[in-house]
Amino acid sequence: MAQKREVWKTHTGMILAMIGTEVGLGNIWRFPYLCGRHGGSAFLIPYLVLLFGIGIFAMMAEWVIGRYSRKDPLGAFEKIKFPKGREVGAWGIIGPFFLYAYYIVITSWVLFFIIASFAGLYFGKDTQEFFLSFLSSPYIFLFHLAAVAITSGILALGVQKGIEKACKFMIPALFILLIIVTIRSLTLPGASAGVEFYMRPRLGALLNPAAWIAALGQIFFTLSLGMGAMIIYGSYLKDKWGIPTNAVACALGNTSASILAGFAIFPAAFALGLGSAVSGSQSIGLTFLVLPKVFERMPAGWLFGGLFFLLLAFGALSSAISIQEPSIAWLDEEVGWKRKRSALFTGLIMWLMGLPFILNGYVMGGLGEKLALLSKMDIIIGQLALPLFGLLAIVGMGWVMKEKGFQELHKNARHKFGKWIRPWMRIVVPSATILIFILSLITVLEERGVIKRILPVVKIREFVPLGIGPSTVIMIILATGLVWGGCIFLTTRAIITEKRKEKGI
Amino acid sequence: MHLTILTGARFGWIFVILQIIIIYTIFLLIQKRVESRRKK
Repeated sequence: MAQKREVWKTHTGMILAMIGTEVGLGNIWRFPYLCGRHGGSAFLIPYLVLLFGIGIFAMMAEWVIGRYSRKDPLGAFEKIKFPKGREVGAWGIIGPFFLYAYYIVITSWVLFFIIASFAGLYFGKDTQEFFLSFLSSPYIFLFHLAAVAITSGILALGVQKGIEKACKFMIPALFILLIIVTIRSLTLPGASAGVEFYMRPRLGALLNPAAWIAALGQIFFTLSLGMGAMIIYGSYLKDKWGIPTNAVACALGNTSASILAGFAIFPAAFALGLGSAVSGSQSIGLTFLVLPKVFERMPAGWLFGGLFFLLLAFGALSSAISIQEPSIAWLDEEVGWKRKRSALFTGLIMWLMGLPFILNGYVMGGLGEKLALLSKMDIIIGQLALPLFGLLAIVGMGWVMKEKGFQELHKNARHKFGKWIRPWMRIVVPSATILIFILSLITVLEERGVIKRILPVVKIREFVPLGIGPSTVIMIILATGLVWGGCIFLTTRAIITEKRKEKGI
Repeated sequence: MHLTILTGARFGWIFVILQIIIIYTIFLLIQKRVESRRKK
């Protein structure tokens, strides 16, 4: 019965699959908004500090657990001898189930907007009415089914032939499309005002703790931590691949997609007179209500709108795949089902679980009511359960695995951490994750009016364009150069090293 | 009215929590069966 467990076939495929997990809807709809709101390019300072100080360590902890155990999240927690390991690890299978159920509903909206953009369906219409009419139409069932079928179909093919091949196509395509849309956005007359809003450093914003809180929250969610995805993807890592360098390369690839997204959105929005609408909205409002207006006003907007939603779909689908994978791996390894059967079964259950979210939208009237169930599930799973499970993984590596964990972290690594890594992994990283959980809980309670507002509020001041000055140009060059340069350098070096190792040089 | 309750549009919190409990129970049942099969 024991069949050989699959691992990533190539190093490039692994990097792209990992970036595929990380790059999702949050990179496109939340990161640029946070940048604009918390000090422009100055926001990159807390973001990069916390990404390299906390985020990648939390990610490496999940990779370590995955590679050490070579099992699905449930089996992994049992193998590392975590107290009540099976019960705790079960949340690495169950949590993604619920997450997928509503994430795939949003993905299906993105799929619809690809066609709507290419066909110009929302041109000349009120975008809110257009979106509402879609949520109430039977077509939504079709797109939902299509989204589930795509991810289940890819996963049924396996790790190498399914996930790796799909990500090898989707992630480079995502970056190419993002660059095309960015070039179009930057070349519109008046685009500089958007670049200025997005990138003009406002260092004063960093004195507000809200910027640091926002950066930490964004990092945790964008790295796909706490959802079992990084544990299961980590379990497919080859032993010869060093974890630290590859984790840095993946985190940089993810950050470069986030930064590019802002260049694709803000310049176009400001050039087309929608700057204040875009800078004031995030998530669903930005993507499905405001951006269609931007594309409507853009020359050849049907084409660039279609390409934008296509790249968004690649990001969303590659993330959805990683969310569905832990349960498939569990059925495959623990229950002993064939992979195709597992993919079909999980796809069916997840499709059924997504139906209430769609029916809620189908039945109710206003936009808020239509999305009520989806936002409630997001609060419980996305905002509260994920940080908790992420914390358990970090504790698992630092406190339960102890030296075995640090040995696994350094196995075949070109660059090893010093002795400081132990207290850092055991105290600093878990503390930061507890902070995320507490802040998420406070935010949820504040938003629902259970408690009075205690977290600092950031007001966006009226934006006055000043013209791009030398400081803006320097920050843009520094920010983009640092991230992309670092990403290209590290990824290329890691690939060359692996190739050399394979050839035995 | 029935439809709004069934789809979770009303009593959404109860609906969401019930859904989590049901799925977790199904999961535990499968898990128990797997473990008893292992022991055999």
